[in-house]
Amino acid sequence: MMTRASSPSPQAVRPLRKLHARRIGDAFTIVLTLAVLFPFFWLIQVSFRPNEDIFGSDILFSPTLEHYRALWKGNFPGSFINSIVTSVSATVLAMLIGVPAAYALSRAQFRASRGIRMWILVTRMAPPVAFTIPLFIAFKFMQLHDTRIGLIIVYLTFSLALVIWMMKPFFDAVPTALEEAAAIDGCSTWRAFFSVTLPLTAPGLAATAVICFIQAWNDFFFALILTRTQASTAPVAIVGFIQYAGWEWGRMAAAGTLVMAPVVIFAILVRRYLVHGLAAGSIKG
Amino acid sequence: MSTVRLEKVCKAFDDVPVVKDVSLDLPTGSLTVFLGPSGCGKTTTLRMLAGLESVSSGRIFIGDNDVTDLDPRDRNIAMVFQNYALYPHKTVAENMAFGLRVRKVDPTEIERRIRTASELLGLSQLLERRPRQLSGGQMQRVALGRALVRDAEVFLLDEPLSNLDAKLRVQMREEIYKLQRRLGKSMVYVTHDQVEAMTLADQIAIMRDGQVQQVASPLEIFDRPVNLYVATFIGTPEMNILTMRREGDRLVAPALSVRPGGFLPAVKDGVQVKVGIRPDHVQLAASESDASAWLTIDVCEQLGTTTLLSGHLGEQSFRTLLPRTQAKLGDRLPIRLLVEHFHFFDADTGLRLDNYQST
Repeated sequence: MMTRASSPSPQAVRPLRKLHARRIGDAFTIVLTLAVLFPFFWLIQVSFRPNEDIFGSDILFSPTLEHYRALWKGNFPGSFINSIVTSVSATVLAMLIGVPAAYALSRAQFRASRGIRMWILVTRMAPPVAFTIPLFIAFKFMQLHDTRIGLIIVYLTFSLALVIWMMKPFFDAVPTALEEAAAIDGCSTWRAFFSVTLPLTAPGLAATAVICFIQAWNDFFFALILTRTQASTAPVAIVGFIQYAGWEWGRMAAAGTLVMAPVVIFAILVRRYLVHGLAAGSIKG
Repeated sequence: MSTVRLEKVCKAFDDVPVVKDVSLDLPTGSLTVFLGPSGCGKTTTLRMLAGLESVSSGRIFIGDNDVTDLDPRDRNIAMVFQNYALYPHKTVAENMAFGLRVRKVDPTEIERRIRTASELLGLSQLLERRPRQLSGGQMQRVALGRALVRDAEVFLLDEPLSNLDAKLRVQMREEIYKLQRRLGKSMVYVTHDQVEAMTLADQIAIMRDGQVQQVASPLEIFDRPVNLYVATFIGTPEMNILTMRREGDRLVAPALSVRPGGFLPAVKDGVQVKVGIRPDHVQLAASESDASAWLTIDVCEQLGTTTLLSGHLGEQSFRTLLPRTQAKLGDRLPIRLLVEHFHFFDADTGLRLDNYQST
């Protein structure tokens, strides 16, 4: 017969098992994170490798900025600026138009409001590819082809529905009593909106703006088709490094790193809001 | 002089009338309570007064100004909302200061008023907190403070205590009472709680189905309710209503006969009336010969000082509140109905019958 002292008591076993489970979980998380981040790290290290050793696997190499320098001298800065101008403009415009629209749809009580919401969503139902040829022909006709304004219009149309649908629940979550309190405190409708309602939806605004920006920034398809040289964006420029003479891996990697950077920086800046905004979607009154 | 006057104010939502022809005068410096069950239009009336709801017809005056078509911000009112409606992103101090900042009050004056109000309400330690860090009672105080600093002509309170627990409610009720009496401000207070109404009000406006039933002081309403609705709405336990018929100098009902002496209602012989008797206007008869009725007991509830007996007189149910009494199911107790406290109402219209017929 076993004595009590020699057999581990169930109370002692359980925390041990828990600890094991946690360790396995942690290990899994680390492996997964590495797997997800590997391509990014690989890209970044390639961008610093000299051409002779571009696919080298040794971790110790003498980093060089030659690819970045080459990018700086070529057409890439122009494309990069095009990317910034079109994405930022599209995001700002989409927010300026979409946020008040979402607010109006959240607060207004008229019979057609459901229908309007539905039709706004419908604009996103067709696959974007379906719009290519009509857009191409229309842009040729209106002389918007290969212009930044043309791209901004395209990005704006696709972002607007997203902004309205993302922001509406945030406005729904702000109790109307707060706006009424503001009205009694002496605010006009606009003042109440700006000093009470809008600050309360800040997480939503941040999350929505980031998603809009990323959507426009990462677009390759429309930028490829609707631009040629003047307004071509960074993602399109990267493809330009695939040439008859050879594939310029170094420049491709450097350009890719530069394209990634703003999104990462932007996301880190609003990270707190982003998690808040994407996860909650509501505010406690 | 009256601070607030409502003239035949009506409100309809999509052709459904919710407030019908409300006319009211609220004297300066008084506390008026709108009292009624939920859905009676009391909150809608308050919101029309605040300017948060448009008026379908009728006029609203504050002071000498017709404010019917003015925005809330032009009415010089302050309001306490049922859910407090504190700005979650602002601190307590900022919540109170906001209305003053919007109105471009001098910053030193803002600070002075916040200090005064927060001392008055015991908020001095909480000024830097945000609403989510406050308890219900504290939020209530901040909401009051936000209204007080405004120094408005009229204060509107929409069920301000309904979200608090019972104990806190009594405490805050007393504080509101003291504040109003001390500051002498005109207040309009909406509630469905008759105890709040009775204890706070200078005058009560009882509402039902969008109409004002009676406007009077609490005791006047208690002593002389204008109709059956008001009679049964005010007073706990509820007033007993017996259907009786006049026969000569007696009021009779099956297995019940009372001679009210000088308090006979002025109706013809053989006409039915509704007789209202408050549960505490009943005494235990000293002897059987002294009894005016026999109460058959159904339920005996001990409340400590008093005993609430529910039963029936003849076929009609009846409740009475007596000094501590022992009784059990099925007992028949001899009781005396205090005829001088009878209320008579028309059996058809429910309106109060006031003139007595001398015998």
